[in-house]
Amino acid sequence: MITLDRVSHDFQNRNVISNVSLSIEKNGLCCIGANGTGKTTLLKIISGKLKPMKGTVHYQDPGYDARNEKGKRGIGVCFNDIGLFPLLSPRENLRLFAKLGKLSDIPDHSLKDIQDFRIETILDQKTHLLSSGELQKLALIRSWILQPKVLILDEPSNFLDQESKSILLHRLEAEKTRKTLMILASHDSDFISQIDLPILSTDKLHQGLSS
Amino acid sequence: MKVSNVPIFLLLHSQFRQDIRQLSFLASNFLFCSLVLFFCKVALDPALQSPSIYSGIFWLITLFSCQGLFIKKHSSHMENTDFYLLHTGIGSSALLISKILHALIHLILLQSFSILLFAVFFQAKLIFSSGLFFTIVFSDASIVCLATMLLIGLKGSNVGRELLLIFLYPLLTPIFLLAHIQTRNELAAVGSSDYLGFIAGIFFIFLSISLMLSPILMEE
Repeated sequence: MITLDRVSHDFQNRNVISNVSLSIEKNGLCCIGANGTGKTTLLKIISGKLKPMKGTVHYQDPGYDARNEKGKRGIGVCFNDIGLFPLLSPRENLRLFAKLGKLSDIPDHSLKDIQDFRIETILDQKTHLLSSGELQKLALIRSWILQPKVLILDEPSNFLDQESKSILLHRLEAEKTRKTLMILASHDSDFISQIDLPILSTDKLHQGLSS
Repeated sequence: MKVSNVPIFLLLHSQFRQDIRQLSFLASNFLFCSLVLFFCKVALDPALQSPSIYSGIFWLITLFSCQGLFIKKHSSHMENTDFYLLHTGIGSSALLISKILHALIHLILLQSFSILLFAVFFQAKLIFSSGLFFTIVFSDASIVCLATMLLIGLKGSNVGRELLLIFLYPLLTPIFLLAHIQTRNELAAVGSSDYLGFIAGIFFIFLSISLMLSPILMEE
């Protein structure tokens, strides 16, 4: 369980999140809302990428506590900035992240993801030459390569075609079965409606929220 | 604090792998090799030999080169990936050490190549001076460590990068002044026949830093 206690954050006096208290438990939640309503900011705060200006975030399990370095390994993340090395190939990128996470090589479940998303043919190309959709698939595969306890995905369906969205939904179902705590944000209401998770509307995050 | 060698090695390996894949890196190496050989030719003119001038020019070039190098290489380029690397559990110490080692190893490799090139083109008999060698190496190491750590602390915003300059110059000024005085004394202490080695020493360092800087400047 992850708990936010009276968390506030603003950007240059623009109040994005104000006094939000929230408990995320069981399988997690989906944040949905228009652009600029604080979805990404909320996810960045939970993942430890952003320190809230006010309030605290509590992590029940030290295995996914973003405040300590070892705990970060338990959190898989995917944001819009992708964060892959452009001059390494997708295979080298995934292998690097796997080895840094103390695996011997790209794990079998990621090889299966590569097959499912049909990106085997681009594995040895330069990453900076890939399309946005291919980069998104790679970033998603990278986010759960270490089988994290918490999965934080910001706009996971971005740039994906309909078939790839279905594969992603299927993959997220598998994560749910594995008891992964998933925290998703999207403005794609069709996509979100197909995920069986509690929905949090972020339209009023700047006015305060307690749940 | 225990830092494992394995992630540091993996990070270094991937960073060097990316370096050698930049076409601009190869092109700029060629350009800067040509330029440095030209500078060496000018520097060997007996009428211009003055330890104080050479020492001063060298450290000024170093100062401005390092500024650009660290702001571009360790800030904008690496910023996005750092966050994701930390989520593999490697720890910020391993990331910091790998960045410092990357810059230092890069420097040493290019220094070795440059001095070899100099000796071949000028049929020079290069004389090793431990005093000059350690002055340059320790100064380089100080610059690399200070700038890397400052960037880690200040990164995340454009304001942070601007602030780096404000903090970096006062912190580095004593190092540069000491390095300048020491280099000048080392140069003045040797006779004219041995001067070639010292000039080579200065310029192979200049070449190395320029080489490190150039691909990054040419990227954008």
